[in-house]
Amino acid sequence: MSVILMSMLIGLGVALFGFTLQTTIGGINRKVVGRMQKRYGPKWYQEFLDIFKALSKRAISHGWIYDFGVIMAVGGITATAMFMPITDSLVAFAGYDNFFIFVYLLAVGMLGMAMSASGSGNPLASIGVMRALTQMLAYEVPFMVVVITIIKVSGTSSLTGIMEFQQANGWFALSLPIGFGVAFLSLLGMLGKKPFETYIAPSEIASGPMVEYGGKQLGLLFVMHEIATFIEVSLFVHLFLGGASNIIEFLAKYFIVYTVANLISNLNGRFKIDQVVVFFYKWPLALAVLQAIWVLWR
Amino acid sequence: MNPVLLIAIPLLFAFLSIMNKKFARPLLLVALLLDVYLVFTISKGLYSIGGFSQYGINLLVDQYSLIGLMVVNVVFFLTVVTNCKEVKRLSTVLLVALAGVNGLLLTNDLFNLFVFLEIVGISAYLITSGNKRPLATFNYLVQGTVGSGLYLLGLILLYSMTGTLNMALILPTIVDKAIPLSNLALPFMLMFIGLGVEAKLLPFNSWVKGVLQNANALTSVLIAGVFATTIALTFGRLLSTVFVLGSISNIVLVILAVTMLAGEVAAFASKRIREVLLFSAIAQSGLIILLFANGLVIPAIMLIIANIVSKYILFTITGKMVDGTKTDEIESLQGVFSKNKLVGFAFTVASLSVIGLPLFFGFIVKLNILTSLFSQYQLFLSALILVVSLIEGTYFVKLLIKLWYSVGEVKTFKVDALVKVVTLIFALGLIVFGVYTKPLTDSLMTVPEEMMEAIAERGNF
Amino acid sequence: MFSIELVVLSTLLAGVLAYIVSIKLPKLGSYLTILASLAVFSVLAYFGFNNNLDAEVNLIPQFVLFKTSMFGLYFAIIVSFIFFMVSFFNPYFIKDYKYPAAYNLFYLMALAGTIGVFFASNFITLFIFFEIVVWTSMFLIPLGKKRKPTVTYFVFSTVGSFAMLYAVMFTFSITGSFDLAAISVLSGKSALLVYILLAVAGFAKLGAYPFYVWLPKVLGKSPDPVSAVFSGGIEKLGAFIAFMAILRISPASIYLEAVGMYLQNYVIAIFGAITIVVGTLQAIRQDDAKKLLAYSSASNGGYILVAIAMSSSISLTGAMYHILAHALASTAAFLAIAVVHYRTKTTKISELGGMIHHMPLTYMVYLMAIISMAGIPPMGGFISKWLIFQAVINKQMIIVAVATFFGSIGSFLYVFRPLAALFLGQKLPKYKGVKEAPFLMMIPLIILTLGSFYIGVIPNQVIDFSNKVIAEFGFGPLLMNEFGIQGANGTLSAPIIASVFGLGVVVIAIIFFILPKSRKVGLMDTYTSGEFIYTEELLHYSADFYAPFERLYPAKPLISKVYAMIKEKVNELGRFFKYWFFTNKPEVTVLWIVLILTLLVWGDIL
Repeated sequence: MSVILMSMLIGLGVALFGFTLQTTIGGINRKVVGRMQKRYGPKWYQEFLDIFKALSKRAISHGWIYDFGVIMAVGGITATAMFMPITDSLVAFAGYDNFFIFVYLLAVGMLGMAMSASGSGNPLASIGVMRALTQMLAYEVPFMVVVITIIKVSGTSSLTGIMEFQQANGWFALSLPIGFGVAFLSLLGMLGKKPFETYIAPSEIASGPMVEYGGKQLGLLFVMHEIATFIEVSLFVHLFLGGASNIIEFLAKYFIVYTVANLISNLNGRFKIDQVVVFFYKWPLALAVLQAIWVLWR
Repeated sequence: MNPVLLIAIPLLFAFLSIMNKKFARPLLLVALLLDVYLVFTISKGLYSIGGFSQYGINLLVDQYSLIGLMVVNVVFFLTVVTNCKEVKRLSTVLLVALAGVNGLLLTNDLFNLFVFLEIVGISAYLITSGNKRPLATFNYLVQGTVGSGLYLLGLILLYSMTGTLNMALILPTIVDKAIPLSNLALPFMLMFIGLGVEAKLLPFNSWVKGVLQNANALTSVLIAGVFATTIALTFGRLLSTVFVLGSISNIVLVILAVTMLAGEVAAFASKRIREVLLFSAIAQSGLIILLFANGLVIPAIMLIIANIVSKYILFTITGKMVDGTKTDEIESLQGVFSKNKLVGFAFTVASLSVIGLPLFFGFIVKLNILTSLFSQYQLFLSALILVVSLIEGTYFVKLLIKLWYSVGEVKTFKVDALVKVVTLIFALGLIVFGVYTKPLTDSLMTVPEEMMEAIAERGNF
Repeated sequence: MFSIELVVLSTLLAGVLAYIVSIKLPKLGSYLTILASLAVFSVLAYFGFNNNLDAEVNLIPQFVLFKTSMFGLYFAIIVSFIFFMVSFFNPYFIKDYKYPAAYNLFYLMALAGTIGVFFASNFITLFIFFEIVVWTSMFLIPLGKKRKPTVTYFVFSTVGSFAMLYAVMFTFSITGSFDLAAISVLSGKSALLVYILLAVAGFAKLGAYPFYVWLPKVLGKSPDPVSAVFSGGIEKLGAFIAFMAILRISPASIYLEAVGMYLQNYVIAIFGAITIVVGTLQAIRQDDAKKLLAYSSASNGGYILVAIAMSSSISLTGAMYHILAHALASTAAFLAIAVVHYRTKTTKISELGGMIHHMPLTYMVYLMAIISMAGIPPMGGFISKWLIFQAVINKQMIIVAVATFFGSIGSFLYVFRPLAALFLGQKLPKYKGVKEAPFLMMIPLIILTLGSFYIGVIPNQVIDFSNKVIAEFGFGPLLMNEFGIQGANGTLSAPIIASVFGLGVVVIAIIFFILPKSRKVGLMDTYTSGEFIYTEELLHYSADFYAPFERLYPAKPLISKVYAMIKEKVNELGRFFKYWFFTNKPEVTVLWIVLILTLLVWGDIL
């Protein structure tokens, strides 16, 4: 029992670490992008300030489901993060860091947020949720096909197991280059980076699901967003870039992946939502399937 | 008691009824009662008329004809009882018909069979003339006459080859004289077509539509129930003990299979309740003859019994319904059963039995048919039967749902208590036999052997 | 000891009793259905778990034979439980039916029939009870909104049962036995034929592609309790048949090295995959909540088929688990929608909104149900989907994997629609004063939800049971340790996931409540980009929810056109025969006679 309690504490630590890490890197990235656009950019801790300010404000609530959804969303995402390994030895629940847990526990958080947003009664929020779900349907399938190739090749669905496999046999980014490319596109979709930021689309649907939020609800959803980003980027690092054997390595890889994604985002326009679906179901899916067939059925 | 009474009494009463019209109906009822009584008391055996055992006319009472006599006479009786009003003018005709029906079931002589066929035919034309559709009756008359003419022609050819008209002697003679099968093809085909007209087989049955789609309860039950059963049984006996199909068996099988299919799809495409039922009846008789042609006597008899009971219920209720509501468009009959639940129950049970759903007699029959067909490894035929019964089920379910559930106004009709009671009893019978069939299957067990024994014994003359 | 025969017979008798009672007192009759189904469920569960069911047959005549098996018991317990749960809704709906007495009768007869199917020892028994279920449940359908689905249901069910009958008879003609084990003896082409036919039977009943067309029609238009019973209970007969067909028959065929299975199993899996995709796509665009759930039932049936086709310990456990999880979740979802229907008289998503404010409990039930249906922890559906994914990956079936993932993500889309537009969103004024579900309806809702949750957190008992079931088919047990299920490439610990999730929610809830309290505002008090909108309907986004996505694929499933065409062809054929053979002209008949005779003579001469 005490083992589990210990694991849970470590897990909470991981979630907190993930939040801090992503918020910091997010802040740094704002600066990077600012420099790119010949601006000065905000301070690296600007994101922390925003979140804590929001948390401390008194705001409005649209009823119990509006609040409950936020709790469920942030709670679900926190729970997901608790399973995430940081390096091959630093993992809260050793042996249970199953890939599918991340996919499905992440969904609880998403569902909570979607529920809360729809509960606000604002149609723009519902439109945002609709787009978010549709986009999920688009990027998730090619990504999963790539991941099952990885799982089958490495013989395990545990993230630490996959890391160890890569450390012994080389990164999947190199041995499955097509899958790597597809997964990176999917990552852009997951992170809601352009050209796949259709579900937020600030100028179009007033940032979609988030339209109604303010105060602590908004602050918590920011937290959720940071942790979700942490989970998604870490998944990518662990699955394709060989994971990490120490924390420095992890930080370095994490920073590179997120920054590259962010930079690409800033060079693109926005897809319409049906274009997103068509986009992902055309080449990425076909390539992912072809690669899987090539690798597995040979 | 001598089975000839079964034929003689109605004939005698028919003459008497001509003398005094007033007593016609009571006479009919008395004759029917006597016949029903006789049927349950006669004993099995071969009865020769006038003592010429081999050359004269024989009446054969075996398990097969006994079952047929019981079913037909009982249903005939009940039909007359439940349709007293319509019977009035037809009493004499019905007496003659009764004699003919019993004769067909009893006779063991091919020419005698022709005579009874004509008697039944003529009374059938007269009965259908009550529909006030003279053209349809005329069609029936023409086709029936052509049919019996062809039968007679075939009979003559057969007689010239074998020299006998005794049904039990034909097969042994053919074997004795080693008559080539190709010579026999024509007479048998002619006889097959001749009977096929009466048995509603496909290309020869265009009369059915005209006659039955305008028939009232009495006519339709008599034509589709009593006469159809009699003809089917007669046909069955010929197919099992007389005919050597040989080279024509393919044509015969195709005709029968197409009859079945055509009946069901035509019923599927029909929008009037009587039309649906009459096409369904055509398909059923196709199936019955098909079973006989494949030598499956027991399933065929079971199907005949199931058929006459359910046809009685369906046609009686439909007849009363059409009388009461003055329409037979299914669309305008919607929801009629919601006001006549008991009648609706009987109708539903009958149709579920026809479809062949479990807990009803039809299911046992269907199971029996398929088991027998599969034991002959008839894969295609059984597939066809399943396909057509799917079609059949579809239109019956459609019909039932429409008759129970209404959209808009519901028409009403009145049914007298007697009809209710009789149809209900029949419906319950279908359920009882659907759950517990042992007595029936036991009594059917010996039928094929007895039929064959008759030939074998007589072959030693 | 308790005999199965007695269960079946007494259920039938209870049906008759309920019928007689309901002629005068329909409501009392419907309470009888609750009692009877409770009795059936508890007897089966109690005596079944203690291995104390007696299979002997003394009263039912003829060829009806029963046997006890864990396989049958598993199904029987689930289905009788679903019947029991749904029966709580009967008293509230009974007054809307045209023939309430018949409803009570057929409800219990259908229950008796399903029990008979699951304990059948030979194929004839199986077929008899199968058909009893078909026709009794068929008459439950027209009591709802429409009559037509009845015929659709009959046709598709009968295609299935006739396929089965043909298979049974064919087996009989070869092996001379009706015993269930006889099909294992078959070999070669005959085995393949029986395999295909039984698969068709399973497909038709389960509502798998290409037979799924009946599901939305029937489940969408039946009375609400009937839809729930179909989705949770009767449909599972198909899975039962599919299990037997796929696992018991081994026709010789090509072994596919790449996916480690025989060709015929792969074909079944592909059909399952198509079912998943088509069901999902159609569910996404439905406006009627019941139809939406019906398509979701179809797509879940696809998962079951895929799992059975893979035939490994993991996949079969996945299939068994999915049958249970889906039964609980989809029944709960259907019943939740039934409550909404009962209170508002509509199930159209676009006509409803803000129901959560009127019926929070129903909302929570629906929410938990869809969490399970979408395969999200900590509900039962997660475990079954996890098991199925494990097996799919293990067999490296890439094409099927694409479909299963698509269905899994797609299910988020469709289950969310009623959630967003029916329960959430603006509180529409026309439903002012709508109340929560009545007490009796709440009982099954709560029990089903708790059950769904329980099997999602503690899977051990169910897996123990299903291990016994798959042992009957000759598969080794799925390994379990203290916390988790051992899959092909990893372990899953449902209790840990659930407790971590619980911890996460608790921590965040504490933070949430420490932070400053929010001011409550109405739903109309929202950001509208400066527009002034005063009508709730205008601020409620519910019609054509996924319009951009729906544009990408055709609205009507193509296969339904094929069925319409077949129907038209049969009609045409009928008219053809009527025209050529049933004329009023005797000369046509004479012509046919002459033609046939000519043919004969000609044939003779040749």
